[in-house]
Amino acid sequence: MKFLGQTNIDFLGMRRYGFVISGAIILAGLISLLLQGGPKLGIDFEGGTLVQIRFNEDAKLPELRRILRNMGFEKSDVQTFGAPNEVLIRIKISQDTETLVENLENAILEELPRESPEFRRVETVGPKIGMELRGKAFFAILTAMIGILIYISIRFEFKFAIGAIAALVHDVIITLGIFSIMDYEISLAIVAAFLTIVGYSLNDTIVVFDRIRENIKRLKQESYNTIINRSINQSLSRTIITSTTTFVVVFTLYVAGGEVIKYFAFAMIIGVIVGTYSSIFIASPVLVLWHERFGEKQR
Amino acid sequence: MFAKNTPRLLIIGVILLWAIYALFPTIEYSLLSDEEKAMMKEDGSLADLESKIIRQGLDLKGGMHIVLEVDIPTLIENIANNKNDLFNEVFNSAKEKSIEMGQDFIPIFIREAADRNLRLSRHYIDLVNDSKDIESVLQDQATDAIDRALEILQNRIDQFGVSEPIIQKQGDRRIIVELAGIDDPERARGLLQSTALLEFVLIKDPEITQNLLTRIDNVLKGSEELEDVLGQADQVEETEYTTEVTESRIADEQEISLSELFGEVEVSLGDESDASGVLVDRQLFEKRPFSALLRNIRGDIGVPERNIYAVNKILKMVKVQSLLATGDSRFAWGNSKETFPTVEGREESFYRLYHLEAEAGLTGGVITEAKATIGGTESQAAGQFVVSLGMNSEGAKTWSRLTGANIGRKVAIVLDKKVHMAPVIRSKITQGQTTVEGFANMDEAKDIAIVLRAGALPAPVNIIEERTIGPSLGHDSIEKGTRSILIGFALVLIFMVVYYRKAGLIADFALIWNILLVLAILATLKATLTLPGIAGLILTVGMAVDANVIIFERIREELLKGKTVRAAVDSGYARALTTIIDANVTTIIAALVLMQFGTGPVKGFAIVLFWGVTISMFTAIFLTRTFFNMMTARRTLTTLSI
Repeated sequence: MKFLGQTNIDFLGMRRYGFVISGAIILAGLISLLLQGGPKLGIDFEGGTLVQIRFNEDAKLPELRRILRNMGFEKSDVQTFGAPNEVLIRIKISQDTETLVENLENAILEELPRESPEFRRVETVGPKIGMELRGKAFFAILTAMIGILIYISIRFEFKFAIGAIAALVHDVIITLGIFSIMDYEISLAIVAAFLTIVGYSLNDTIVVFDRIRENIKRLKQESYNTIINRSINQSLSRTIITSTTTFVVVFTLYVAGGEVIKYFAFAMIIGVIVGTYSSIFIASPVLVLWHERFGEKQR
Repeated sequence: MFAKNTPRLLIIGVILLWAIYALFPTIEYSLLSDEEKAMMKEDGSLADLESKIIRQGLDLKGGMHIVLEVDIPTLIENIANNKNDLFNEVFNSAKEKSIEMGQDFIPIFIREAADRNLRLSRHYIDLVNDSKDIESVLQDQATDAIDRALEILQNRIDQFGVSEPIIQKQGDRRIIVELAGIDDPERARGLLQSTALLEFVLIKDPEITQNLLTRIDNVLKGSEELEDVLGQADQVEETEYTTEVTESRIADEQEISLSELFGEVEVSLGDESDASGVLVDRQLFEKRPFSALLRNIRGDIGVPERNIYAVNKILKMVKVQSLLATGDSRFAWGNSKETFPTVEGREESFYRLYHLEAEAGLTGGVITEAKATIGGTESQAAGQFVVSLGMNSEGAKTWSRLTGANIGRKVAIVLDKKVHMAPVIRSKITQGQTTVEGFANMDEAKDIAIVLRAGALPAPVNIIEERTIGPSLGHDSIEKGTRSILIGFALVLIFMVVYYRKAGLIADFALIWNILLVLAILATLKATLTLPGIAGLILTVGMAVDANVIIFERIREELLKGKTVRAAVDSGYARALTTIIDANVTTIIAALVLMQFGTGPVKGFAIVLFWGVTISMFTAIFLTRTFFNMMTARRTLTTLSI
C-alpha cells in the first residue's frame, strides 16, 4: 500500500503562504495572550488550591460558588470536569493555606451532605513553590533548546540549527497561543508536553535536514532551492506516515485517556500537527533564507 | 546464511526472555484478587512481590505528596535568649522582608540586626563566641533542625504504619513526604505538622487573671488600634454588637454562669428586660473593650467562635504583649470547640482561653512512654480517650515537686500551644505517671501518642505543597490510561501491517518487543510509573514506528531505483542510520533535561520517554535488521513484501 508516489511539489514556492498562515495564527495567539495578560498559569506556577470533587448527582455549581463566596474566596473558579457530577474548583490564594483545605472540605460536606461529595484530588501549592517551579520550567525549556542547538550545530551546519530553532520556537508559540485562545491552563504536565513537542518537532525537522545534507553532497550542480524541494518531497511520505501514527496515538489519549491527561494530549495533538507543518514550511524556508543572505560568505 | 543471524537471534531472544522474567511479578500481582493479596500480606510474601513490580506513582494508586518546610524564623526565635523589644522589632521586620522577597531568613535577619545596631551575639550567647560567626552558627542550627525534623518525621511515619513511605530531604530546607493510600489526609497532616511540644504549665490564679483583664481593658479603651480590630471584625461578621447580645444571654441553668470574673458584665447583661440590648453592649464595649468579647464557662474564660479573630488581634497588640510580659504570663487556647445552647435555643460554639504562667513547669522532653488508651472506670476520664504518659526519674521528681507545691491550683497540659486539659491538682503525683485527656477519638489519641514518643520537632514545619489523589481517581486513571494505550497500540499495529505487509509484521514485532523492554526496564530500575508516564508510553508507541518508517521508505525508494532486494535493504539501512540517530538524539536531549528539572509525575514521563526512544533506536537498527536479513537470505528472492 502507498499513500504517495513520487511527488514534486514546490514547497519553497509556497513559503509565502506558509509565512502568512503561521503569522496569522501566531498573531491571533499573541493578541489573546496580550488581552489576558500572559498565559493562564495553573496553580503549579501561581500557587493556589485545586479541588476535584465528585457528587452522586449533577453538581450544583451555583451552590458551590455561594459556599466559596461565603468563605471569602472571591477569586475562585468552579467548573464541571469531564462529567456533570464532577467539578474542579480552583482557588488562587497567596496567604495562609494551612487550614484552607480542611475548612473548604468541611463547608462542602456540611452544606451538601446529600450529594455525598467525594474529594478525589486536592492539590495545594504555596506561592513560593509556584514561583520556583515557574523558574525551573523556563530554565528547562531554555536548557533543552540550547542543548539541541549545540547538537545540531555539531552534526549539521549552524544555519540548520537556526532553521530548526525557528521551527520549534514557532511550534511552542503557536501551542501557547492556542492554549490561551482556548482558555486552557498551563500546568507542569503541559510544560512537559511542550518539551516533548520541542523534541518531536525537531525529530521531524531533522529527518528533512538529513535528506538535504545528503542531497547537497550528491547533487552539487543543482541550485539550493531545487535540492531542498527535492529533499522535502523525498521524505514527504515518511513525514506523513509517522505524523499519522503519532497523531493516532495522541488522539486516542485525548479521547480515551481521561480528563486529567486530556490537556496534555491536546497540547501533543497541536504539537504533532504544527510540528509536521513547521518542518516543511518553516524550518526549510528559514534555512534557505539564511543561506541566501549569509550562506555564500560562509562557503 | 541462517547461521550468520544466529548470534543476533540469540541476543534478541535472551533480551525478550529477560523482559518477560522482569515483568512476571507485575503480571502475577495484577492477577491477584484482593483476598489473595490479604492472605499474602499475612505471610509477608506480598511485600516481597510488591518490591519487584512496576511502581505506581501517587497519581495512579492514590495518596499524599507533601512538601514541608521547616519554619526557620520560629527556630531562630526559639533559640534566642534575653529577647527584648529591639530584638523583637528586628526579628519581625526581617521575617516580613524574608516573606516579601522570598529569600532565606537568616542572612536578612543578620543584615537587619547590623542596620539597627542589635548585637546578636548577646542573644545567642551560649552558641557563639565570636560575633563574626553568627551567620554560620545560625545556619548550622537550621541545618541541624532540618536533619532532626527528618529523623523525627521518619520515626512518626514508621509508627503510623503506611506501606513504603518516602521521606526525603529536598534542597537544604525542605522535606518531601509521600504516603500511599492515605484515606484521611487531615490526620496525616496533623501527624506531620504536630511539633509535639508538650508542656505542663500552671494556670494563673483567677484574681490575677481578672486583674490582667481589667488592665487590658484600660489600655485598650479609646485606643485607635481597637477601632481597627473592631472595624475588621465588623467586616468579617456583620456587627459584633448584635451577636454579642444573644450570646450573652446564656441562662445559668444551662451550666454556664457568668461568674464573679465579669461581675460588672453580669449585672448589665443579666438585665434581660432591657430592650435596647445593643446599646448596653455598645456601652459595655466602650467601657471594657476586651472583657466584652469574653464569656464565662464554668470558671474558665470562653470565647465565642465569632470573637476569636478579634481576641487574637488584641492579644497580638504590642501594648497587650508588654502587659503579659510584665506579669510573666501568656494566653493559650483550648484545643477543642465546645458547644453550648443559648437562651434562644441556638447552639453557640466556644473556645476556652487560658491564662498561663509564662514558663512551663515541665516539658515533654522527660516523656519516656506514651500510650493511647481508654480511661479506667475509677478515674475521672472513665470511658474517654486518653494518652497515658511515663516520665524519666528527673521528670518524675520535677512533676512531684510541682504538684506537691500547688495543690488546689490548676495545671494546664499544653500540646503544641493548645491546652488539652486543665485539671485541678488534688494531690502530689510522685511516680511521674499522668494522663492527658481531651481527644475526640481513638485515632487522635493514638497519633498524639506517636508524636510524643517520636519526640518534639525542633521547630514547626509548614506544608508548602500538598497533592492528594483519591484512590478512585487513581484507579480511573490507570483504567483509562491502559485502555488508551491498548487502543492506540492496536491501531498502530494494524496500520503497519496494512501499509507495509510482511515488513509491517516485522515492525509490529519490534514494537511489542520495544514496549515490553521499556516496562521491564521500569520494573528493574524501580522507576515509578505516573500518569504522564503512561502518556509517555503511548507517545513512545507513536514515535517508535518512526525509525521503522524511515527505513522502510528508504528501502522502497531504493527498490524503485531498480536495485535488487538485498542491495535495497542494505543501502536502505545504511542511509537511514544517521537520520534515525540524529532525529532521536534531540528527543533524548529533551527527555534528559526533563529528568533533571522535572519533579514527580513529569520526571516519570521523562524516564519513560528516554528509555522508549533509546530502545526504539536499538530495535529499529538491530532487531528488524535481523529479520530482514533472514527474509532476504534466500538468493532467489526477487520481490520484497514492503
